[in-house]
Amino acid sequence: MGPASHGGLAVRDVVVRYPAARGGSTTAVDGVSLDVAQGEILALLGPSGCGKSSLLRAVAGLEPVAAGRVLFDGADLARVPVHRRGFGLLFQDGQLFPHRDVARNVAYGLETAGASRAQREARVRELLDVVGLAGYERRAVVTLSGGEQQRVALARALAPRPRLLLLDEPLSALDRGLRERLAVDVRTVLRETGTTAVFVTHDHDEAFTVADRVAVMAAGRVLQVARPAELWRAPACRQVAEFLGYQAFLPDGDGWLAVGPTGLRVVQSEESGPGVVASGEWHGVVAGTVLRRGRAEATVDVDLGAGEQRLVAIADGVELPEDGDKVRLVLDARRCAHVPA
Amino acid sequence: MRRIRWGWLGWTLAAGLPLAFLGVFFAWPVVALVVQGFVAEDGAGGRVLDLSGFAEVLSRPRTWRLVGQTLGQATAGTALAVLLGVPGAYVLYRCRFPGRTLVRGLVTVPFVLPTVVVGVAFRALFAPGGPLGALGLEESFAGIVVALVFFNYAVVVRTVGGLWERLDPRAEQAARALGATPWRAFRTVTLPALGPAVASAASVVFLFCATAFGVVLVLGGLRYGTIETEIWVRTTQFLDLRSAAVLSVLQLVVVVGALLVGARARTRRERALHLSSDRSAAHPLRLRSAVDAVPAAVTAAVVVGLLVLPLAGLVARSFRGPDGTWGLDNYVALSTTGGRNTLAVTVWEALGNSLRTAFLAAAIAVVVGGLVALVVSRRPRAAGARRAVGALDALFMLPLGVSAVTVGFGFLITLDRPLGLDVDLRTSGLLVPVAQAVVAIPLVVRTVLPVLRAIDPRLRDAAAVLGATPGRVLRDVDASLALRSLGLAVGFAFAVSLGEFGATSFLARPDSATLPVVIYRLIGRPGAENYGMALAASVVLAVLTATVMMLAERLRGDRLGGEF
Amino acid sequence: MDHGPTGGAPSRRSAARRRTTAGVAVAGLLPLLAACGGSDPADTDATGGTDGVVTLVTHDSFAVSEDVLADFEERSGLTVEQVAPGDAGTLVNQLVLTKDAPLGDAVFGVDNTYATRAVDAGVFEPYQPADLAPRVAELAPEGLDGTLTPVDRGDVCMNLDDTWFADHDVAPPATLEDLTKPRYADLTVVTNPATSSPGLAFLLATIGAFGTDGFQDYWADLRDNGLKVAESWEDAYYVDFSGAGEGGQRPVALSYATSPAFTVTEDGGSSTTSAMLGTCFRQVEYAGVLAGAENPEGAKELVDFLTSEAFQADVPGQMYMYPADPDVELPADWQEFAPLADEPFAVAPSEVAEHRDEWIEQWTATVIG
Repeated sequence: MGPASHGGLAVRDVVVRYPAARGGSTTAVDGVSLDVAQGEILALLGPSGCGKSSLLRAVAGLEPVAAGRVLFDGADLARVPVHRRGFGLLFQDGQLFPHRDVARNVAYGLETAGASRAQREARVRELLDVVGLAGYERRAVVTLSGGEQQRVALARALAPRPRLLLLDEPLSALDRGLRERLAVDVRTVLRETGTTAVFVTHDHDEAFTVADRVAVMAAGRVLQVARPAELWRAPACRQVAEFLGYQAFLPDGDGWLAVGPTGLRVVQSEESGPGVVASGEWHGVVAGTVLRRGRAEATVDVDLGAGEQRLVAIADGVELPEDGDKVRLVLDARRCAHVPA
Repeated sequence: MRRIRWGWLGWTLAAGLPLAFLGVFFAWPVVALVVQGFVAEDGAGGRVLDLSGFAEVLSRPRTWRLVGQTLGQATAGTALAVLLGVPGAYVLYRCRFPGRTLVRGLVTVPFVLPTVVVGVAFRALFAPGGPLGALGLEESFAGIVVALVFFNYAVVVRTVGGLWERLDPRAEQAARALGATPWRAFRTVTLPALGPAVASAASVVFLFCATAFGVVLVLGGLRYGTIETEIWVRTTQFLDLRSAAVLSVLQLVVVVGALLVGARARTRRERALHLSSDRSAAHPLRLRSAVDAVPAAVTAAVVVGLLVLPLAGLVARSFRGPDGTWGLDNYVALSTTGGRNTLAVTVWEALGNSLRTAFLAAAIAVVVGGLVALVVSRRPRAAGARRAVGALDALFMLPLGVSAVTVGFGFLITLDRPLGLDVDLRTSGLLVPVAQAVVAIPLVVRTVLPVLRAIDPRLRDAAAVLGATPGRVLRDVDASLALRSLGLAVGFAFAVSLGEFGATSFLARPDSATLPVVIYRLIGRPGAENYGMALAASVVLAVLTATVMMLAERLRGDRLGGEF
Repeated sequence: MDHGPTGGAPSRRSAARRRTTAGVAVAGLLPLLAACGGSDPADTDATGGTDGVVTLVTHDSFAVSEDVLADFEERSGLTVEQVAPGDAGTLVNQLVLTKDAPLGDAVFGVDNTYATRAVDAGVFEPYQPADLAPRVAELAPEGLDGTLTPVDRGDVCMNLDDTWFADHDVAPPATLEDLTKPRYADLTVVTNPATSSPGLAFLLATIGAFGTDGFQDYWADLRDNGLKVAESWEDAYYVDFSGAGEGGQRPVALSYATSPAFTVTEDGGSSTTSAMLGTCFRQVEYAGVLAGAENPEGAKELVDFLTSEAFQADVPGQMYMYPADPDVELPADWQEFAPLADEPFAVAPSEVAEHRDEWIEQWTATVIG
């Protein structure tokens, strides 16, 4: 990736350190470089503690950068304090102002920007409409549900038309159904408003739903940046594949054949359909079955060549096996990827 | 990097102004006086450091007896105040009943009454022939402890009640559902959650008890002295600054010890704060259930026996005129300067002085204390800065633990030309509110700090990202959220300065005497008229204080706060 | 903040700079405090530039009629400021502590139990009014005349609740020795000489009566006879003394010779209490000019005023003390109910100054143990 001489965010070799309890310091972000183009949504994906939130806070200006540079539209932000960066930030738990009602929360960024009352009212109405909370202006924030609070927080972050919106695990505190619906809503809202955004999450489904591109982080470093489909198709390393949910790794030339979460299938005795890797066939013992979203999955104990493992195999189109049954297993090439060593 | 430097400048000023204030009006006077005790003439006209006072004072058996008595009465007073205060906190903050606000105001009154009045009121109760004469509490250890509880009950009730009110009741409910008896659930779930608040209250009460002066002097008689009374006697009567200095150092050791324990407990309390719910969890008082009835009975006994009885005696006596008839004679006399012109001003004028002084003192205390709370509420990244912030917190508690006589005499030797300026502050009427503010600041800090600390730092981040300058973040987040507790802080500061006597008595000028000074003077004269007026004036002071506290209580609204 | 060099000199410099910053902040505050000092221009004017202001340092019992003071101010052209940093017992110690930067120009309220200490410490500038009556001048402590000027006097005596003795049909005690008799067991309350100035005066009375060798035995007898010791006068008088009418249980209490004038009955015909004039110690209060006074001339005029006829006549009504000038006429009820003792006990001020602390310790050891 070349330097971002044009619009958008550019992160160059950024290091973030925290003082440790007993002197010294721990490095949370260890030399990360990233680019986010104008209007693009980038997800920072990684397990908790990988440094993704620290990177986000550094971009926002809430954490000092120990080394490296953060640029926006080509301008270095080192001397620009938080409140002059013109960014938006959405926290996991909203962080609404408890002493202000919904409208005054949404209007806050407009107030600091010196917008007139009429402008503020119009913009608040517009955004509450966008997030599906029309008519909530005068409600006290403590009376809202978690999902509603998060929508208000999103409206508040978007109201001053931030140059860049930073979202820090914005959906993690919500229950699953709401999370999936809201993820789509967030994407729609960001698209409609043409907002450039960085979205931090530990949930790859969420990342793939919302983002144009995904950066996978681990231990303070970026392992891979790619579009979701590309990321799935070609994980840059075994660590990325593991994080995406690839469940088994078989030696494959100079690397690994990674078996995706749906890459293993239970087959009838003589089946060999399209995509099935003819060269391999294994036998496993069923430890349990489950219907997930209407699709049958079997948990099997199988030795693919690297010792016995407990893996998940798709059992669609076959008679649902019983616990303890011995089944034939094949790999689905479309759901497996080659990972360099 | 410019931003960071500006930030530092702001915070340095925010910490520097209170430090400078405390330095000039507390630390410097106290240190100057203590140092005089450690400096001796070397015979050749020069001065040398002389620490022989330590060996001399510390080898006196009397010193250790005083230390023992100080620790003993403070420990007993603290234990009893906590034991009685916790049920009180439950009844007054966890239950709802008609007149609750009134009772909450009432329990605060003793906290600010002039000790000379309280001392005489209690002695009148305990003396042979008094209503409680049969208990034999006069000149007894128990008598002192009872009076200490009288003064400090409110501290425990408020500190513990403030947290209990917000404690999520579901943890206790879960314990009950798991088969715990109410007592077991309280002991194993609620009490540990309240623990930090209890410990924090206990450390402050210990501080007050360890430095109690007037009440010990009046009620303890000759046998029960404390380090504080000894410092007073050594300084004012013997001008034995050598002994006083050693005793001051001893007292400081005791006080710092108590503060360290308290600081640890408070740090733990902040974690407990996150457990608390936003809404008040109070329920209507149910006297049929033992869970409410027992604490209610204990609280009623304390409020009636320990607070109402002495106060009622005072109030009743204030309505008995000089000629023995009942009526408002004493109150009518408040517009005079007392029998045979005892006073330089009328009592109402003194009340006016008190209000003006308290107003100024509260303003100073809230500005300085607010700044301290603000600085202390931050968690700097560097460990050294964090320690400095913790030290700042403890530093501003010290005025509660240092003898008023040391401060008062210290003022006399330092403030003639403060910082080399040609302003003799010692004879300026403005030193009175300043001295009162020094005492009120710790209470302001303790009231505002928990609220500021409970603010999620990310709320400030959210405001900053939305374009708020650091100043605006302070205004829109910290100030807005702390505002209601600030109301309570103003109330406390106001009430404390209304009642402050120790330092004021060394500074007030005859023509600008405050109410407690006037009361002291009236009661120091023979004549039924003066005595009656003193009591009537005390009642006025008590009513005023209770009113201020009740108003502050209303301002408190539904926000957290109220730790001492 | 922590990026600077850590060497000794630079860090000390930066500490000094911080101190300066703090100092500047307070320096800014002080004139502000001074500025809002209010209408009174003398409040903060310590520059000595205004000859019109003279500051009197006194204790909290000082009082003077407004018209008497106003008259003096008008005649002299001076404005009198009062500073009362505490009660009588602490005044001398405060004067000693502040002798390098005195609180004012003149002082009133140093008594004969403390006088020597103050004079020895160099608190005073020698001065005595030129026209001082010889009978007043002789009240000055030996060797200290010319430095201290007597202004008023009074007796500290045991007071009796006459009603109690009448009701109980007991003959009232008359002498110090009487108080140790079994007949008067558990009837007496005094105050602690370590914390109360009447208490100290009474201790001196017993030293005057029994000598430095005998007073401890006397106190031991008193103690064994059920003596009660209160910490302060108000405590002893209002809580313990039955004569105060507040429910006290003891009919013999330490107070002043003037106290009976406050318990005169409604009709004015008699007093329910009386002083035991055979138990008194004479207190004399002095005025003087402070060394290092900003306005020494004004201070001298003020001391003159305190011994003037107008002020002396004002003393009984304002301060409950007898004027130093024996020729001043006393209020009628004083003459009747509150006479001075004819032969009060006395201890030389120099003796008091030398042995006071020692006597108090001996007293404490005897009475409290």
